[in-house]
Amino acid sequence: MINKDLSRNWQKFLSFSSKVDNLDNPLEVEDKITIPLTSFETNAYLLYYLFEEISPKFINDQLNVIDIIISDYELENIVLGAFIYQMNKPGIHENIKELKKDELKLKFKDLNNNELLLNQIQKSVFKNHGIKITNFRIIKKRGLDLINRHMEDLDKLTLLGVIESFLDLIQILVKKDLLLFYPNPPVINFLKQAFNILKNLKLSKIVRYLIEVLPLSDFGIILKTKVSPILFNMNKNSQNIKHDDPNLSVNWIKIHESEDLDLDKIRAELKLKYIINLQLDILLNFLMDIIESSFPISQEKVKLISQKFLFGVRSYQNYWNISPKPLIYNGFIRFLLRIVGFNLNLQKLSHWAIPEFFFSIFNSYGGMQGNILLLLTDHENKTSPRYNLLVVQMENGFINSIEIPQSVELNLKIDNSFEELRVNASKEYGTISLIIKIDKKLIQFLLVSLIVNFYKLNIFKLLKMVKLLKNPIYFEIYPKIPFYRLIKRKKSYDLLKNLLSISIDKHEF
Amino acid sequence: MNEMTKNKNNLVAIAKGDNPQETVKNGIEKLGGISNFINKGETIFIKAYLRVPELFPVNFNFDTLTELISLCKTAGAKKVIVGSYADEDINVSSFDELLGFKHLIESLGAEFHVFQEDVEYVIKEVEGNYIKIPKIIMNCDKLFFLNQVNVHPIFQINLSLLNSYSMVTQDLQNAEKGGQEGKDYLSSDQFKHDLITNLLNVYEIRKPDLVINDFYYLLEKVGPFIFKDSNLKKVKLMVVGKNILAVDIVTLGLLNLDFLKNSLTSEARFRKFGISTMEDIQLIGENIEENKINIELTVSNLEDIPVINTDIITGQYCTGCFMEAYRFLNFLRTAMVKDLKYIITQSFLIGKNPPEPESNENVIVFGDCAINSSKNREFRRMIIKEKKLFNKPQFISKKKDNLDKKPKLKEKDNKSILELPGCPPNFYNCLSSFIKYYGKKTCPSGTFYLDMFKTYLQEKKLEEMSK
Repeated sequence: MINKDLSRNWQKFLSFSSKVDNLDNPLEVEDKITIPLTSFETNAYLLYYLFEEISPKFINDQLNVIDIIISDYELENIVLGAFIYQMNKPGIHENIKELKKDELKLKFKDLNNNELLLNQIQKSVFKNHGIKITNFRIIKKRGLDLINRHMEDLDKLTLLGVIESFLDLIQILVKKDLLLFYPNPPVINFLKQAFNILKNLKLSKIVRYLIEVLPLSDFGIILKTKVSPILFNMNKNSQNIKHDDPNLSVNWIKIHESEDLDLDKIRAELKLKYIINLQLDILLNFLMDIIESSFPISQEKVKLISQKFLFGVRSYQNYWNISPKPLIYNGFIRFLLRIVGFNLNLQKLSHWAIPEFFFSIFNSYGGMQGNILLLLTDHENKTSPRYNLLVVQMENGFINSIEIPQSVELNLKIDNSFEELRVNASKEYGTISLIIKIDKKLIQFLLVSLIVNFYKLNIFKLLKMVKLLKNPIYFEIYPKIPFYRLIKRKKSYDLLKNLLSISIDKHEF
Repeated sequence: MNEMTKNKNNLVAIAKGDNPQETVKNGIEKLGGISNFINKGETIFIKAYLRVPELFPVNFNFDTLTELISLCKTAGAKKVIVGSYADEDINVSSFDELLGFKHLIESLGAEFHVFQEDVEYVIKEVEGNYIKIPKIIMNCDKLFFLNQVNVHPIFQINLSLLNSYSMVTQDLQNAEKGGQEGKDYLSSDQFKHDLITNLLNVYEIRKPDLVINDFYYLLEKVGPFIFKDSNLKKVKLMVVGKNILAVDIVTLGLLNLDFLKNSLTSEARFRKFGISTMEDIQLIGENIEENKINIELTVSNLEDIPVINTDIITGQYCTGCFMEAYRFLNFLRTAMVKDLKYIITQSFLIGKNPPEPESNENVIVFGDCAINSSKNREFRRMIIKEKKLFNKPQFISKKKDNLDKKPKLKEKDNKSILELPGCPPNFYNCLSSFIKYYGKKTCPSGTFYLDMFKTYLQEKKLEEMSK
């Protein structure tokens, strides 16, 4: 019933997990395990550690769980298989025990009341096995088939293919209720609501678009943990892989306790372009803030999350670090820029004011309710389709849904003027308040400059960004709301100066 | 026309629906359908709620308008025109480029007009006042009001009576400004009285044939513009009728507001509207009691607007100054968060004889009343220690008592004062002066906003601001 590779790998992991407490130095273990539902192999203790850190926060902090596989249609007993995990630590699955056939009997109507169902399961399992179950996970047979199919395809897929297939699998399992948890973990709750907003838009499509514009290779991310730093290394140093398919490896960095992490040395050894060092705790807490948001997320909450993110960005050398050291943090360069009127001290980023400022502009000139047509163009691509359309529905200043228009007629009329496009789209989706056109080149330039080549970021790159924003080939808003009119009218130099004075605190101390 | 509705002008429908289009359609159908209001071949003017080039809900809901135009067309209207006067400082020629409404409305088979001073108008006399009204409105066969209901700082909510005001030239709208000095002007709030009188006079020139109060979505807490804390509430209701006062009274009723306590509707009862009590209105459609909802109204005291680092000190002020100060203060707290943090401290004085500010630093005196009544106030003068260009070193000083000598004090004008003149002061002038006073470096967000406003303000306003 379950894919053999998946089952074998999981058994191996369970067996390793049950031995960890007896190991003197688990960091020395060389055992390899495949990360479940992917094809990436990693150190067994590393995977164990990530489960220990992530599961209690994002999934469940209770002990002992039961996995139940159920039929897709009504039967005498819809239970096709059930497995109990006895746990000593939250998130760490150790011993697995399969329940006998018909030991647990369920009908679809039992799924209507989860609390009652948990009580029923608890009683039955405690009576037969003496284990107190605190939560259950139910997967429908169709869900299991999808997992099996995903597993079978893994070998044929590239790195990007594996990520896409995994995201598609999660989106279907959660959206179609093929996977049920009780109590419902915050992450599932969040994903369900987020997928509802995405309507017919696949998460994997967004990720593919981002990966296409971002050259994700030859870089590393180090996550500082309580045990030892973990390195996520994305490079294309292997001869066997294709140009666009980098190799991902996840491993411990073994350093002595008293030793400091030398990013420059690690970068040089691994021949990486750049390496970022983050703290796992801070990253997880930030993600928790996002995941615990209830939908629809209020604008105040989004502002708060944005403020936290920007505070993280400004906390260079406290919360994060990068090698090579970015030019922008060079005091002398900053001093010279200050002389010519630019304040570019990212450690003084006005995290408290930026979201407030941009939200107030968006509310006034984007409206608090209406539809926005997002036109993603690819000006430089002469072969494949050059447009992607998205309809973003807003209510009370929050995104209510994002949808890819299915209408052939609408897609055919993309080449018409914005006026025509607005009229046609309004007939289908209600009044379109704004059309925002963004070209792939602009998105690529923004992401590459601000992420991949952050260490090279300088005032000229920022000026180029502003110039691209002013160029209607790369960015356009219809109708020409005052915000866009101002961007078009103001000189790049003055606009950047103004935007920097809004984004960065004027006082150095 | 249906005889039943023809004789019952006080019939008001409360409509509910799953979207604005359905709701407006329901409302009109409850009144016997659009053919009860339109004869074939007629020209319809839809007076929409349109003020500044911002999007919904500052202006009307386009989905409602789309349905209304479509209904007019179905009933055989020859021509449908949508229009309004915008706020006085707005350059209307830029209006379409900013909102793109013209093409959208034309695609529905209607015309779109935002009026300027050069529009052809007729002059009408009402109670000794000469009022200019565009010919296009006077000559149309049927006049429809489409009003977006939001909270309003003076009249609780934007009533249709208020919407009717922007169908006449700016002359009248300015008539109540430039108020007179004197105790009575303020104590009797002559500004508000004049405003209401003018509003009701306008109504008498051209009565609407259909009035729609659209509050499918309603901006509550802070309005009628979108400010920090503004909340868009989905109410899913509309009130439709022929009698403007009846429609406004029912709207107030649905929002749990007493029409007798509303200065506009209570005053309107004494005019020829034919309505003085709720019993005069014949309700159809949804039940008023079952659909009542509570909304959060705007603050009624300026001191209650929480502007950071700002001490709001009020004297006796009129409605005009209140309205402009309300907009200005809410704008500061919405768009200039960063700038206010840089300012550290400021006092905002408004009205006649405002109390002394606690600090003499950054005193903003808002409006003619505050400026004129505070000419000789203490905060206008500062006592400072006199500084000598060269101080004699102590060891040279021979007399011992020189050491105990107190420094000389000198009185001079407090230059840390910003006067914002006007009765009431103009919002854009205030913002421009405010930024000039503090400087662009202290007000980066304000500068950005001001530059955005400049993209759609009239030339004469821009010249005025640059002085």
